[in-house]
Amino acid sequence: MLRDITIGQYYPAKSILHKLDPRAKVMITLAYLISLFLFKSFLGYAVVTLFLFGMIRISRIPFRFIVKGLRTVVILLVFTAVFNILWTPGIPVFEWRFIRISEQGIRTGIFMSMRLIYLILGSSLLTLTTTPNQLTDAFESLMSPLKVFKVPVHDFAMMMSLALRFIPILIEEANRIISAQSARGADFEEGNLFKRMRAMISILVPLLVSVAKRSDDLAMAMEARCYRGGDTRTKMKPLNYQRADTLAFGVCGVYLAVLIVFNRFVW
Amino acid sequence: MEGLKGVKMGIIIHELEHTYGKGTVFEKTAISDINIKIDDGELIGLIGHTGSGKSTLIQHLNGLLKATSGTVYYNGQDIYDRDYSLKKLRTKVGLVFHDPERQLFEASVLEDVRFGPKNMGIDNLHVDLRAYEALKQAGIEEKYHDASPFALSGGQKRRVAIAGVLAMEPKVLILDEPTAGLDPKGRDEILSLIHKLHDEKKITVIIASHNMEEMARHVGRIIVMNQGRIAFDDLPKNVFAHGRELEQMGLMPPEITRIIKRLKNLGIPFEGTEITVEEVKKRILSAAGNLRERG
Repeated sequence: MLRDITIGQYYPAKSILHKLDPRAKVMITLAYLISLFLFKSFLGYAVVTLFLFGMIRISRIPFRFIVKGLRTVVILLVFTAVFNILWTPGIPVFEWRFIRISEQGIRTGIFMSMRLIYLILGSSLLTLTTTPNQLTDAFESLMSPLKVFKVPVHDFAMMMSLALRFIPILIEEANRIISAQSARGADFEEGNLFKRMRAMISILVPLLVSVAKRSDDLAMAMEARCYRGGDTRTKMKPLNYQRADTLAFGVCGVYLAVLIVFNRFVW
Repeated sequence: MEGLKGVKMGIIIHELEHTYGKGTVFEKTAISDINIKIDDGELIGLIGHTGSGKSTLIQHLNGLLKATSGTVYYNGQDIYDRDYSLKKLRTKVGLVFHDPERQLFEASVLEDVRFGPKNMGIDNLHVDLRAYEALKQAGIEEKYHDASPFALSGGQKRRVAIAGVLAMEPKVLILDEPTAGLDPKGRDEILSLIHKLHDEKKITVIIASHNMEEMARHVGRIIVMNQGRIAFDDLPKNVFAHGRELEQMGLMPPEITRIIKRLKNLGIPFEGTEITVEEVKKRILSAAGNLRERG
């Protein structure tokens, strides 16, 4: 169950995408996410599909591995599709008692779930090709203008990197606890709802205890190293844009242009 | 399914191999070529450096991990058979994980120990009986029964966690680093508890550890794992005779073995493979006597 979460997990590989400046990747991903809502045509989907799958190809991450991340949101996807199909008004193509399915409904249903899938695939591509540290650096650098408004950007970045860092640790911990409780005969898949809830408690309580303990230890360790966030800190690896990043921005620009043009003038 | 009739009861591990993350860059073969035969009532030390695959191996014995290839037979039956109940196997092969106190979750010690037998679907009275019995075996006094498990000391927590597995009355008890992170007193308590369980209940016990010193005194057979394979599987004294190889595997042979080695280097004759302090003491004394006679 928990083994399938790929969000927030780095997948080491040698590819151009891995080497890009994280700021560029974050911005391009953001542009990509917005672009998903820019069009309404099938052709638009063709362009996005081409772009996304091209990127996945370049990233050298096995397709299977990326798709695994979708498993956790299957329910959400199904709900989105079903609700849109059933509740979108329009010319009905199928009617049975209170169920009325319209052509627009089918269209919106498919589009919305496709959008969700592409959203998740796109953002997991970012986290799979970028280490949490790089992500935080990008976040901090991109948000630094907000410092003018007294926003503690560095602290937020630190919190973000810690949160990201803890995801795999907690998954591992949860898996361990699941194994340990399974060894004591806990059954997470069978039995009625009440029984399964009880079994879940046997995971959640130890997990919460461990989270509290870990964060306490971490705070102590940071304190012991005299950690003080903020302006006085320098970076060992400052971010620098390279030629590849300019190229990436170019590719992204072309993608957006094609998408807009197709949406406006074709179909 | 009829098991292999006439075969001695116990566990047989056959050509076991486990690969994590097959088909990804994280692919890693944790164990391979594992062939072990464990008879009922044995007390075995499974020794290996961190990452040698011992934790992976023991999780196969109660079916928590499924082997990539090879199989495990429990009492002559293949545990990977489709109609074999892994849930039942887990009540027979009890597994105490590394740092088991981290799996405590109930509001009271007694409730936590009841969790295992309760999952087995036996009636409340017997669940209670088993929980009381297990806590008694683990040496937890009755005044702690209603205490929160989180309020206990490290050694007590661990004993409660072990009681949680004992309450299922397993025929085979496997413990992963049962003494890790405990002070010497807690360590002795846990080891003598394990020893007592083995003697009194006649159950099979497997202790995974990286500490040879402890194992030397407590087990009748040692299996050494190195890089996912079995390096040695023999009586403790025979295993310890491979001092240099053990050191290369990142394992420290018991102090006694090292002392014998140094004495040999000093030219004092030592042929035996003694492993207890008493035996070695006798040897040294007689060697000293010989030297004095020779003047």
